Amino acid sequence: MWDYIKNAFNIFFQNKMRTFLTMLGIIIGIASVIIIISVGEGTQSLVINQIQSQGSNLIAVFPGNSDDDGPPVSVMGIVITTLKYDEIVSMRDNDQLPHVKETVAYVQGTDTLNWQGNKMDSTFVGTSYSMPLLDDSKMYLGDFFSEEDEKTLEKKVVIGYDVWKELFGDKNPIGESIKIKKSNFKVIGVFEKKNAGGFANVNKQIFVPITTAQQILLGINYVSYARMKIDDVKNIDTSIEDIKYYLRDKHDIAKNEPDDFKVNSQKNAIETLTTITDTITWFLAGVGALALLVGGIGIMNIMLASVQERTREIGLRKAVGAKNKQILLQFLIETIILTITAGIIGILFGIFVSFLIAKIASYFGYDWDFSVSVLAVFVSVGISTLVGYLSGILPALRAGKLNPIEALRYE
Amino acid sequence: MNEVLIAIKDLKKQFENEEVITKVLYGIDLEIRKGEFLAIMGPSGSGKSTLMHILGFLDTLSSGKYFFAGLDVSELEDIELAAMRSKQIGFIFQSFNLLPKSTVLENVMLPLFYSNVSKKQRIKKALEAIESVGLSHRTNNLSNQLSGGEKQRVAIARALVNDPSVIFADEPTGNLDSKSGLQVMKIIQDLNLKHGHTVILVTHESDTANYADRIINMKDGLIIKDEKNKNRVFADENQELKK
Repeated sequence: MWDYIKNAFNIFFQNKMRTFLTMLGIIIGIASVIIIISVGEGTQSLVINQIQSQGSNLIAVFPGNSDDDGPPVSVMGIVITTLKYDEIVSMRDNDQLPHVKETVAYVQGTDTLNWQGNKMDSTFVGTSYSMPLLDDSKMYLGDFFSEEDEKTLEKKVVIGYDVWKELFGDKNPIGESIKIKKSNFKVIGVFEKKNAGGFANVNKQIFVPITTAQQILLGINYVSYARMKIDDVKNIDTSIEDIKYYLRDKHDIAKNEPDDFKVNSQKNAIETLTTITDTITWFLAGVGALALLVGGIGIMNIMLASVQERTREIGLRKAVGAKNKQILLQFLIETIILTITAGIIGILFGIFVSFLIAKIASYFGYDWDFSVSVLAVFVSVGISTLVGYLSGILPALRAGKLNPIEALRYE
Repeated sequence: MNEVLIAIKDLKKQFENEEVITKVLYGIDLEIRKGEFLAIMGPSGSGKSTLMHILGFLDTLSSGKYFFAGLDVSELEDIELAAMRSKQIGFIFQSFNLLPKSTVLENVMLPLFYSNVSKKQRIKKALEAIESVGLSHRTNNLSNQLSGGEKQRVAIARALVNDPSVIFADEPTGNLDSKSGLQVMKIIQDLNLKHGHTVILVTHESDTANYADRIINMKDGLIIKDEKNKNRVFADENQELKK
């Protein structure tokens, strides 16, 4: 057996090009599948991490009901007034809602901001003092408004980073007054620049106490929507039920009547996006399979190209007394060594490149998880090995059936 | 007279290729004794090579009987034929058939790889065989670096290494110039004269056939003449091989 192994290495060494090209086919096949699947999973992690960074433990409450699957009607611009500021406030530190940590109500409007003649169209958001706690916004300058400010309808405003740059240039805006709907608001803070995710660019928005927005800017008493932070992701479903129960009670809704609000969590969004990214991953797996096929064809090409040479070699070996069994054993050992070596190189190379891609992605600030699919490794190694194995021993099997002289004269 | 080593009776061979049947041997009777140096002559297409391939277990017969040392070859299985090739015969081809990227030593050792011989024995036997054809200085050269005459001498060493009963040579000088052809024929004749090997030579050149002690002439798949060589030539390295 040891002789056969040494003989195999001898043959590889004598036929460097053939050996190299065969191994290359296997290596490319395996590595590309591993890389493609890893990149697919990395993309998935990127998308999911981005959603989760926005808060996977957040629940949103919208006024009005809609079909379970559709978006809330308020999204369509229809004004529904069923959600009141007081009831949102009452959900804070409420024994009936043990998992709700922060509660933030929102209203929105648009207007042209004016600072000493500099004008800019912007969305103003009326919100609760606890908003930075909910979405982890960081202040770049100054502070966010306080609970006290909210209670006393202060005309204070916190502006987005782009608003600052556009209205004030590089000037420190803290303490300046900007005019919104004919009222002067004092700038008390600027948010850090955020990645523009979701539907609205928060860098171009300004934030005022919700009570001020309702009563001074808009003249309304309802809220557009509310968001709540739940203590743990696993309590999301319970909390949704708690909130529904609480609001039905508040709104005095009879048992067989539908809700007049809608409670959403990001769980649904993550599920939807996972479905999409899964599809992408499977698509990439298809591309990988193609790569595997190309690699396999490459291997077969090389093997078939050397069939004449090898058939003659087999003829000679038979002429000097080799038994079919011995020739098969020789070819078997040859292909096993070849495919295993190439397989290991392919796996290592694939993992290395996937790792490199993950590193580069992280370096550029993407929240990219490095992962290697065990399934991808097994499938790609299995298929390439099978192809390598078949194309390696088929000539031996075929030549074994020929007379030595036929094999020697094979053309 | 020595014992009969090879005996064939009414041997026929035909090739079948997609319903086209080509008859090559029409019924050959032949006896070859141990220690003979036999030359089979004839024009191309006479069936002389096919006959030798059958005698050397490289091809199978279509009908008739073939006894080798009393053993009925037509009854043998594949694996037994391989054993016969391994132990009983050595083959020298016109086109050498060496492994081109292997060294002289590796080429000569090849037959021993398939017989149960220890590595040490293999190297020892191979080196002896290489020495006997005068190529010791080439032992570690790759076979494709050698001249034609040297290649054929490597092939002879390979044929010898198993210490076979019969050495078959199929047009051994066909691809060689006259000087190396003579060298090769001297070695082959010495194998017969000095070492007592049975040698069966196929050639279409009467000068080459004249080194044998018995010459068979074939034509159209039949033996037309079989007689002792009265003009036997003894090889001398200093003389040129006439072509």
